Amino acid sequence: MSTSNERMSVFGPTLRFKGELKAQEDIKIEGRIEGTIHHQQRVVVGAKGEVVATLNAAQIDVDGKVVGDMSAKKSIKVNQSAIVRGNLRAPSVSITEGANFNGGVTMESNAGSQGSSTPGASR
Amino acid sequence: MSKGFDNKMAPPAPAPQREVATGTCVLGPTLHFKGELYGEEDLEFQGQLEGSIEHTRSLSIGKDGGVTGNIRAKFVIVEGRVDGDIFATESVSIRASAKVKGNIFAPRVGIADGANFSGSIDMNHKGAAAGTRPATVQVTLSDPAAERLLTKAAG
Repeated sequence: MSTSNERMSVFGPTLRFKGELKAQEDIKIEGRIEGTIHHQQRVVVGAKGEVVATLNAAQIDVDGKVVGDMSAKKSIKVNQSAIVRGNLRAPSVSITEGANFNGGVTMESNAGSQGSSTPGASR
Repeated sequence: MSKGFDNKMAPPAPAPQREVATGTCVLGPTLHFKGELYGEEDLEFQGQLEGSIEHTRSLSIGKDGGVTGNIRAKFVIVEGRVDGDIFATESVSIRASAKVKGNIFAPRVGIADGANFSGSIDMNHKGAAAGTRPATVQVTLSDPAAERLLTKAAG
């Protein structure tokens, strides 16, 4: 879709990373990341992307596969091609019909505080 | 009428820039990695990484890029900062803006004038070729001249 954003870093499809990732710019993940992602901006998990990690960001769009909890300050979008297993926490969460999602959803504005909720509380 | 003129003069589709065409993946300056990074595509790294990079193709550490840890790749181009050893199966190129602290193991190494480098360079390192090249001793054994010498010595 909006692949040609002005300055989006692309984490390419053959890249694999294990560890901790911090960033303050939009990033599109087409590769595989295991660990944690702390992000200040927008994260797009592309159709080829695979994330096995705890994901924190301002905005998260998922087209690929995510195993792990996600929390966003603004919004989380789970698109049609996505496969997600984990809990979502954001003021606005949308899941497109056709997406494969298993987990809990918490819509709260203070997405930053994670300690207050037990995982899978909404189930 | 200007349209037809334009069509006649138009070049056959401008060749796209090489870097874009090969799909070089660029990781931006605000990215901070801590851990291990593996890749099989050309990569331009502008961020910060603490840990190791294992790469099968060309890797360039941009001007804003910084790596604390060891790097393994086919080609390595450094324009930024590297604290750690660099192992390349083909070549290492240290550009003028680079700051490198560590050892370099590669068959071909270039250091540009103006670069800041402290460490040692080994161009005959076995590990640099990643064990792909067999020992050269085998060649002499199949050599007829050597065989003659060996039989002579035996007899």
